[in-house]
Amino acid sequence: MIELQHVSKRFGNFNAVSDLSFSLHSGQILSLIGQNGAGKSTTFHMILDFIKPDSGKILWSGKPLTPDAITAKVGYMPEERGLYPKETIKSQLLYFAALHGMKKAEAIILLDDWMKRLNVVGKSTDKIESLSKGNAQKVQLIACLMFKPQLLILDEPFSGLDPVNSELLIKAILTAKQQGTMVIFSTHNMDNVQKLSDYIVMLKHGQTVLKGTPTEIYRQFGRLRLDIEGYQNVERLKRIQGVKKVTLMANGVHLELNNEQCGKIIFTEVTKHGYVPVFNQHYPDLEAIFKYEVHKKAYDRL
Amino acid sequence: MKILKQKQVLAVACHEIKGQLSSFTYWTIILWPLLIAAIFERSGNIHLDLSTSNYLNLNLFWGNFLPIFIFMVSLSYVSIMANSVAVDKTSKISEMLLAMVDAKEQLIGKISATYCLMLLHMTIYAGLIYIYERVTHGFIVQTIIRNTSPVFFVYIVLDAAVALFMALVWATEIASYVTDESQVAVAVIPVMLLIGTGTMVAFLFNAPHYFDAGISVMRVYANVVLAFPPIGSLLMPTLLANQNVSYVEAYLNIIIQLVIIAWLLKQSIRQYRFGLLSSKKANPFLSVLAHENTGNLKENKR
Ligand SMILES: Nc1ncnc2c1ncn2[C@@H]1O[C@H](COP(=O)(O)OP(=O)(O)OP(=O)(O)O)[C@@H](O)[C@H]1O
Ligand SMILES: [Mg+2]
Repeated sequence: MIELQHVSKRFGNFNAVSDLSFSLHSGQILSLIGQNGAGKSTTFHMILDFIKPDSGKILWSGKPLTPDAITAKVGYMPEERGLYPKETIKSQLLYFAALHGMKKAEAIILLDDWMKRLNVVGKSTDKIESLSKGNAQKVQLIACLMFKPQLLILDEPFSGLDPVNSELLIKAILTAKQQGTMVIFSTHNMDNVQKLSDYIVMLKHGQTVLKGTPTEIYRQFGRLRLDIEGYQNVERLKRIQGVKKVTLMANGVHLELNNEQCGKIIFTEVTKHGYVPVFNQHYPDLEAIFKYEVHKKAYDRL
Repeated sequence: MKILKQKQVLAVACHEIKGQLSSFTYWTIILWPLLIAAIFERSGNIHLDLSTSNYLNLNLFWGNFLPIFIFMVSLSYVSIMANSVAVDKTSKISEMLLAMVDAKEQLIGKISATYCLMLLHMTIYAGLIYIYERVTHGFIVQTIIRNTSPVFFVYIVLDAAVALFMALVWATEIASYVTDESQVAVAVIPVMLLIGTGTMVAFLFNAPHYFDAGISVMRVYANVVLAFPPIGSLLMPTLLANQNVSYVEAYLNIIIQLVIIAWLLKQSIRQYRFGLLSSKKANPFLSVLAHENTGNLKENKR
């Protein structure tokens, strides 16, 4: 289990991360979201002991993380992608394996296996510089996965991957999860957050603005979105108390509500006039929550 | 944990050695002194008359030869080392590496590798000299070595190793701030300036007529100054060869230097780690050389 307790970091008089707390258990995935400069990478750097927090504690099963424990247990893919361009995939990965104390024979088997699983295009004897960006990124990913870390930290792992490769990465992350690995990743892609996270933390200027399981976060906002398919009278819907906004869509309407309860009134109202193929009152998606949190002022309501 | 660290040092060193052995630079460093030696040999410029060689003649030879030798070796290996660190930096692999292996193991691994490479270099020369002397039936080098007192010989080997160590540690620290490969040359300059100064002064000392009296008057002062690595390592062999200092003083000097180096190494591991992580910040050493305002070197950007 890894636990951050009231962790803060200042650069000069700029608060990069303030009072961040969360804990993560074996087999859980946490996504760290937030705008550029929100403090995500800084948080990772503190967990990895690259920089020391100004205050607060980072604990591993209740004890402070030692540098040795970090190198042995944590796999890290930084935001800045890089490998030795002149080396082959194989020699590069064998070097990383050796740094983790793995035997060469064992590493070679794993390496081939991972290259197949992540569908790295090319042979293991290809030079890194000949690889496309996405492929090099996958090689880097293999480097952090092959030694079976207990904690995997991925800084924007999806950036630069096509949808097929993103899917492969999601699979790899889920496999790691099944094997009990804790995963912390940052991303700007809310779909992937939705697909993967057991726990979400959103930072804004270093402050934690959202924290919890996806359900907890959705509940904070309530089912304030409503999709109705079929022809609807927009003006009539607008007049119902609690309806904030009605947008006409290709196959129906999309409503934003001020409170969950008015859904019932709308339901009675629209079904009065006959058959409604789809009536879906749902939570705002993460993208909307994200944008809301970014732009929110104190008096706003989603 | 201990074992893993040793394995990591070994892995870093092996990786380094493999990389250098397949690099053009390393073989150039071995080759070009040979080419120069060949020119001297062709033009018949090498003649050390050993029939008249008394103790002083031989000392004069060592006093001249050692500073140049140490300067050349340092120049070569400092560049190799600085380049290797710069490649890590510019390949943007430093952050990933640092999560796998601590800066200390990286530094020690790289330094050990450099010593191994130098040892190989010297072995190649020794082999070539042996063959050459066999073929030409001239035994100049063998005679020089045979006539040199073993105590002195052991001292100069140790001394050269200490001088190189200091140069390497220092160069690595500076090179860790390099963000662009074109800056490598500049990273080598401060170290070479110091070593160069030592070499010059050693030459002055090797003209005994000027300095005999001075050194005995200022003995205490000289010993303090000379303790500063690598000045001591550069001057001591000359002073020793000219019998200006005693063996006790010379060995004491090495011990003091080692203590200072140990302390500097500790500092430099910190600097090295910090440098490796600084991708955006300007290199403090380089900015000084470029007459730029370095600002605050601490981690405050804002
Ligand atoms: N070493 C440093 N010195 C000074 N300021 C820093 C340092 N590292 C980060 N910062 C600042 O801290 C803030 C948080 O940076 P961080 O890299 O953690 O953001 P991020 O959430 O990872 O953003 P992105 O999505 O762009 O990667 C930024 O404003 C950045 O400029
Ligand atoms: Mg970042």
